[in-house]
Amino acid sequence: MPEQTQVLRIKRQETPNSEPYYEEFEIPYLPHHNIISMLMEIRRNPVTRQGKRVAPVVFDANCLEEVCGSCTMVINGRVRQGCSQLAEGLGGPVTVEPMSKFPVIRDLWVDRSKMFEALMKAHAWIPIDGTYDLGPGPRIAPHVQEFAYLFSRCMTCGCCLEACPQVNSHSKFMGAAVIGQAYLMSQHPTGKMNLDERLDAMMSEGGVADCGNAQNCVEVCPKEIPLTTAIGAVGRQTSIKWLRDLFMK
Amino acid sequence: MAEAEAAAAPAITGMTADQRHWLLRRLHSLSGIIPIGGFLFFHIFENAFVLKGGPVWWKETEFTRNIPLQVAVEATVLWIPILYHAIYGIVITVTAQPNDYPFERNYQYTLQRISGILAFLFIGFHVLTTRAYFYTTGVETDYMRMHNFMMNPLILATYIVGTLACVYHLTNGIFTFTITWGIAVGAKAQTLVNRVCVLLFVVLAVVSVAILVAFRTPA
Ligand code: HEM
Ligand code: HEM
Ligand code: SF4
Ligand code: SF4
Ligand code: FES
Repeated sequence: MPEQTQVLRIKRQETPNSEPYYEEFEIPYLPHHNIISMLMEIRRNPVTRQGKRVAPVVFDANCLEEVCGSCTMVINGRVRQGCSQLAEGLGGPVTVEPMSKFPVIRDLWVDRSKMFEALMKAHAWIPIDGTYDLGPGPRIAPHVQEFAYLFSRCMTCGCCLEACPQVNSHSKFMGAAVIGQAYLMSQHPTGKMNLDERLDAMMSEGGVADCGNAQNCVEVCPKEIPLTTAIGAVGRQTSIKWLRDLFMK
Repeated sequence: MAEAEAAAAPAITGMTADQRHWLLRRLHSLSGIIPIGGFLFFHIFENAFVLKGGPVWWKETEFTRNIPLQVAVEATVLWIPILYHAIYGIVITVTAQPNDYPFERNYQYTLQRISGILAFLFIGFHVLTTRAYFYTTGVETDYMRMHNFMMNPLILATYIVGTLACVYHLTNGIFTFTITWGIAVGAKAQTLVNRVCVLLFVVLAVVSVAILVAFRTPA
């Protein structure tokens, strides 16, 4: 009986500026393989289907349980984490590509720095350090905690940017993740003290106004974060801030 | 107190250049509803009088041809907002990169851009052949003129496609407007508004096509 195999068609790119190309690899089929373990299998013996020995495919991965976000890639045209995509049911040649909205470092490894820069721009943290003891923070009602928890699951994976039609090389839009995080930080009573700074960032070019409401972000987010609720809520916060600044300053 | 507030929130010291971007976007969003969207509702309403016959339509729309400071009102309420919304809308459209993720809202997003471009072409054609035609030649767009337009299959088709595009664009725009301004925030609220807007599209689409067909009735 011939051994069952699975074919991976991988988009490769040697340097950030070189031309991408595709290479096919054939590996033994295992239903419980995931894309990352398949890439590891290829790494053990990096020989293409045509029998050519090539450099192993470079990819990013860490947790292997869909919590770190580093292995995000485009599998058969859809963005997701490679580590949680099982081989079973994938069938035919599986096309694996790096995300298209981020600079490629090499092969499937991309540079997600711009997401972290956006978090810094949006002041997406809560300053709690001082030169003296600031005392305990205010208490938070359980339902607020539960709601905030939904947003705290973001792993900066980039799925929401990859699927967003408003995020692209000719737009400055920072994407949905940072809107969710700006909203999260302002839920916290201590974090609320920096609400205006966050809204300033949200009202700048690339902020919430550049969203076009395609709502792909919320569909593809692996953590099921209610991103469009954050977009609506930050839309409201910015509207109120604008009116307040207009009439009360 | 004011000082403490300023210290706690140093950023509320006026609109930065960055924030003007937000304002331009919000003006685009607002102009789609007020005045352009409001006008389109009224425009369909006034033209619906044709369903009661050409003479009723001509009589009921009489006041729209006798507005004090007509040109100034038309320019401020219609032409300038439409031009602003249209030109900025095209800028927004060319900075988009629509994709094929198979979600309903994603199709609506793409349709919003396609209908915007169609609306641009149709409104240009429509205004040039009606109102601007009147200002340049003195010929009013009366029942006979509209009737002759609608008897021409090519013009009728243009009107149907153009009007449906505008109506889709408006109703889907009402949906996105409620998110943009933070009126519909939760997922349930957004779904509700979306369904209502789809329904509104169907109603307005049927009425507009009925109006266009009614103009085919011989005088
Ligand atoms: C049901 C289909 C439509 C019919 C029967 C119709 C009919 C007319 C007529 C007869 C006029 C000329 C009014 C005059 O010269 O006094 C006019 C003007 C105009 N129409 Fe329409 N129209 C239709 C759809 C639309 C749509 C979808 C729009 C898009 C917003 C639109 C925008 C305008 C504008 C901006 C003017 C110029 C008004 C002015 O400057 O005073 N129309 N229309
Ligand atoms: C003339 C050509 C037009 C173009 C090129 C155009 C383009 C656009 C685009 C690209 C958007 C999406 C903006 C975004 O998501 O950021 C939009 C939104 C909108 N448009 Fe237009 N549009 C046009 C005409 C109209 C007309 C005639 C109406 C009303 C009858 C209208 C009403 C709206 C509304 C209500 C929105 C929603 C605003 C929001 O999401 O906040 N537009 N338009
Ligand atoms: S919001 Fe969701 S899709 Fe976007 S980066 Fe965070 S976890 Fe990923
Ligand atoms: S709602 Fe659409 S346009 Fe807005 S961030 Fe999400 S995917 Fe992008
Ligand atoms: S390796 Fe961490 S999410 Fe896949």
